[in-house]
Amino acid sequence: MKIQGEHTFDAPRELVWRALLDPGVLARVLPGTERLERVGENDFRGVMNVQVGPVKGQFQGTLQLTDLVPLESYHMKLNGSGPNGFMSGEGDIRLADAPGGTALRYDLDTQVGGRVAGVGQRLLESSAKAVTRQGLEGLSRELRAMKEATATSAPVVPPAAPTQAEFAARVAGDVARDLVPPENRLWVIGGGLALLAILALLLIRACGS
Amino acid sequence: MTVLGERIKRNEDPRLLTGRALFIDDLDLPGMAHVAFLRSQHAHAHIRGIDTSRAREREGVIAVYTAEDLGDYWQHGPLLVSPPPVEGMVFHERTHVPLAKGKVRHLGEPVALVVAVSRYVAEDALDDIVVDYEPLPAVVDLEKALEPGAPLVHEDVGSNMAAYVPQKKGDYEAARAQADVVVRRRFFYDRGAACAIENRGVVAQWDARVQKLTIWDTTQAPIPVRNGLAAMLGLSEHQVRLVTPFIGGGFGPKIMMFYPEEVLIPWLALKLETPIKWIEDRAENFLATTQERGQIHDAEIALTRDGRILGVKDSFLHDTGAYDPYGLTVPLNSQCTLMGPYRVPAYASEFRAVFTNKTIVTPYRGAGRQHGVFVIERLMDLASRELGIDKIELRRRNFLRPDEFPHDHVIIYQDFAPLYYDSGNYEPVLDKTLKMIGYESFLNEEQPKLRAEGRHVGIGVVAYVEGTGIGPFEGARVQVQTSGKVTVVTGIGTQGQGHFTVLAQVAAQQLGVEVADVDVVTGDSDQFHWGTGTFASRGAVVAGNATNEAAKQVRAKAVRLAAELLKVSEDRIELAEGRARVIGSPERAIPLGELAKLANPMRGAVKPGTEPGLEATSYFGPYRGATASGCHAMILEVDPETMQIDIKKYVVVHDCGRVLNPLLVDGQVHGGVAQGIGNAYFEQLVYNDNGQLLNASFMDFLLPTALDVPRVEVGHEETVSPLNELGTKGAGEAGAIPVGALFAQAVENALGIPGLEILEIPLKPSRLWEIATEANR
Repeated sequence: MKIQGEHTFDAPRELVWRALLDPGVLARVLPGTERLERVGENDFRGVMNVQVGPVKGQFQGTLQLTDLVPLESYHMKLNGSGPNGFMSGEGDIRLADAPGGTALRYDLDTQVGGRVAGVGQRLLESSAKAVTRQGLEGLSRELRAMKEATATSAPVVPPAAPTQAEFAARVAGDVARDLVPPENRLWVIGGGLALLAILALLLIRACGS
Repeated sequence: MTVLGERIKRNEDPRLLTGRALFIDDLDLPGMAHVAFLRSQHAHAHIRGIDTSRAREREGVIAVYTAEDLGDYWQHGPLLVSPPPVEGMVFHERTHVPLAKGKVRHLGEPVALVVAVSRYVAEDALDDIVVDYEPLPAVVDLEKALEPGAPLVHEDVGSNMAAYVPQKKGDYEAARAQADVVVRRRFFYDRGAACAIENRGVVAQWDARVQKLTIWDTTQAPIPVRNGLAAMLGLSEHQVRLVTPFIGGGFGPKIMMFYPEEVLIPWLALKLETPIKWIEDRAENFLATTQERGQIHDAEIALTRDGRILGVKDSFLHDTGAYDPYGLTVPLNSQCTLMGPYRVPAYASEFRAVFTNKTIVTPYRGAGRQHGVFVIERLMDLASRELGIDKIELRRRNFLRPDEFPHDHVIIYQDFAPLYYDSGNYEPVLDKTLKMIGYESFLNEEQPKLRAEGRHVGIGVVAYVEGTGIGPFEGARVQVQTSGKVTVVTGIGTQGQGHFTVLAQVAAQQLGVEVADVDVVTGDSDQFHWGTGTFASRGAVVAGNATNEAAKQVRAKAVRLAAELLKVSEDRIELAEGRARVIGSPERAIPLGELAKLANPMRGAVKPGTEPGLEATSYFGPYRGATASGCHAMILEVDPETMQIDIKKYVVVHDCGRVLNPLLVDGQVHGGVAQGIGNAYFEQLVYNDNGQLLNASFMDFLLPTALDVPRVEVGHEETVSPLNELGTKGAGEAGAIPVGALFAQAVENALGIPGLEILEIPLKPSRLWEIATEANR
C-alpha cells in the first residue's frame, strides 16, 4: 500500500524540520502512539495502538531516519509488529517552500500482514488515510503552538493529543466518509446520531435503575 | 420388499436435528487442558528466534512448545499419496512439519503452541510470545515462481517446480496435422476454501492405567490416521482408539492429512498425562486448513470440419502451496477429467505443480475435476462457434456411445490404474436434461420474447464425467443382535453424507428388516479397525458393497440355521419383516433375534468350524473406479449494468449407476451445486504479492447464501456399473464439478455480446463487467 500526499503547514521550514525530529511532538501527533523514545541519534522505538475495522492491537516498532538533509528531506524506515499483524514501510519525507508556509511531501511504501491485513483489508486504506490526515492536522496544531511560543518567548504549551476514543471516532468518521457516497452521508450521520442518542438513553436508564 | 432405490428419510436426522449428536467441541473431559497455536504472520520468512519466556510465566499456562522443544517427535509428515507411476514424471516430496523450524513457508503455518487451563488463557499467552522474523520475498504467482532467480520455497529443490507429469494417448501431433480446425486458448480456473460449517478439532486423552490413548478427531480417514499416529507415538495400534464424532462437513480438507494439530494434540496428552483439546476457529481455518486454488491451462482442441474431435492438447500449471503431502491427486484429476464424456483419440497433456508460499493444496470436493471440465467444455463451446455447429449437436457427435464401453483412455488415473470408463450412456442424460430445462421452448419462445423486452436471459448446458468409487478397499461387519436389530460397523468416516441410512438400507435389503432397525457405526477404530476413508465419492460404492457382502453372509447363516430349525430346505426360507420364515407358510417363522440367540448357545458343543452368532465381516476392493456422468443446465438472467445474476432454473441429470437412495443423491447434488455456484461467482482466495490472504474472513470471502442458490431439479439415469455387485457409482462430487463451465456458457448466452469469451472462473460482478466491456469495444 502506498501512502502519498502533500500538506502545507502555516510555519517556516526550520520549525517544521525541528518538529519532525522531535519524538515528543511525533508521539503526540501520530494517532495511537503510546510511546516514542529516541534510542540512537536518529533511531526511535515505540508502541502504537492500531485499530483497523474489527482488528485492534498493540504494535511494537522501530523508526529509523537516514539520509538527513537538514531542512530538505530524510528517508525513513519503520517496522512494527504485534499479535495481530505486522507493518513495515519505507519512504521519503521532503520539505519545500510554499506560499504561506512549508509544504511537506510524503511518499511511503508500506507492507501490512497478519490479521490486520486478512480481516481488515477493506478498511486498511481508508484507515491509513485517516491516520495520516489526523497526524498532519495534529502536527499543524503543534506547529501553531510552537510558533506562538516563539513569538511570545513563552514556553511551548503543547496541545493535548486526542484520546484513544476521540481518535477512534475520527478514524471511523473518515472511513465512513470513504465508504458512503456524499449524497447518502447525511443520512448515515443522522442515523449514527440517532443511534447514539438511543444508546445514551439506555445507558442513563441502566445507571438509574 | 425392496428398500434399495427408495426415497428413505435419513436415520441420523432425528439425532442431528434435535441437538443430540456428539460433535467434537461437545467433549468436556475432567482436567482437560486447551491448546492455542501461534501462527506465522508472514508468508515467507526466516525465524531468527522465538522468545517464549513471558508466555511461560503467565498464570494458567501449563506448557509452551516450539519446534526445538519437540525433540525427536519433530519430523516431516508422511507422504500421503505417492506420485503416479508415469514415465518421465518428476516429483519433489516436501511434506509439512508440526511446527516451523528455521523458516515459515506460508501464512498461518504453526510456529509455537501454548497449553493452558483454558483457551482464553492460551490465546492471551500467544500474545506474550515474540518471534523474530526476517521476512523474505514471497512466491505467489505461478508463472513468476518458475522464472529463473525467483525466490525459492524450498531452497534444496533448486526451483519451485514440485512436480512434472507428462501423459499421452495416441499421437496428438499427427491428429493435429489432419485437423480442419484448431482452437487454442488460455484458461484460468481458481477455487477456494471448503468452508465446512464445522472447523477441525482434536481431543486426546491418555489413560495410563490401561495404557490407552483415545483420540477424537474430525478426520475423514479414521483408520489411516490411527495407524499413523500409533506409529509416530511408539504405541501399538490397539493402544490407540480413534473416534470420529459427528462432523459438520468434510469436503476433502479433513482427509488423512496428519495436520500439525492432529499430530501434536495426542503427543501432548501422552506427555502431559492430561486430556488436551484444540478446536480450530474460523480465522485459523482460512490459513491452516488445506485449500484448493488455481491452475493456468494452455489448451487446444483439433477437430474435423464436421465436428469430430481428433485430439486435445493441454499444458498446465498447478498451485500446490508450500508443501505437497497429498502428492498429485488434484492435478491428476484435472488431467484425467479433461477428456470428459467425449471420444478423444489423441491426448497430450502435461502439468507442472508449483510450490508457492500459500496454504497447502489438497482435494476439495471435485478435487481438480472442475478445472478439467471447465477446459474441455469451454473448448467445445469455442469450437462450436468456430465450426458453426450447434453446441448441443457438437457434444452429441462426440459422446462415447454405449457400445464403446468399457473405454480405455490409456493414461494413469489417481488410483494409479489406467483411466478406464467402466460404463456409460450419455445421450439419454443429455436428452433428459434438455427436456427438464425446456431447452427448445426457451430458445425458440421465451428467450426471443425476453430479449425483446431488453432482458438478458441465457441458457447453458454442459456435460461431465466423474471418476468415483476407487479402491483400495473398505470393510464392514454386520451382526444381528438378540433384540433382532442389526448393526453395521465400518471404518469409513462420516461427515453428513447419510451413511447411517444408505448402509442400513443395504443391510436391511439383505436381511429383511426395517431400515430404522439397522444401527450403523462408522469411524471408531475400536469397533472396526480396517479402512481407508471417505473421499473421492467412494463411500456408498466401496463400503456399500462391503456391507452388502457381509450382510449376504449373515443372511446365509440365518437361512441355514432357520432351515435346520424349521426342518425345510434352505431355498424355502425367506427373510422378511424381521423374521426367517417358510415361503408360502409365513406362520412358520423364527424372529431374527431368536435365531441370533440360538446361534450363540451357552451349553452343548457346536460343530467344528462353526462361528458363533449371526455375524460376518467382509471387504470390498474395486480394481478400478466407476465413472459416473451427468449434465447440468441452467437459465440465468444477468443485469448488464451491475452484472448481478439471478438463476431462474437449474437442472441436474446424473447417472451414478444404481441409485441406492434418490433422496441422498439429490441432497449430495444440491450441496454440490451450492458449492459450485460459490466457486463460479462468489468465492476466491485473494493473496497479495507478499502472500498475505486479503479476505480471510466471511466478511470478505463470500459464500453463496440461500438467496443465491436456486431450487435444483434433479433427474436420475441408471447405467449400472459392472465393477460391483450393487452396480453403483459415486455421487459426492457431481453437483460441484461442472458449475463453472456452465456459468461461463450461460452468462455468454445471456449477455449476447459477439466475441465475448469467458475463459476464467471465478467470475464476480466487477470482473464480468471488465470482460464484457472489453468484448464490447
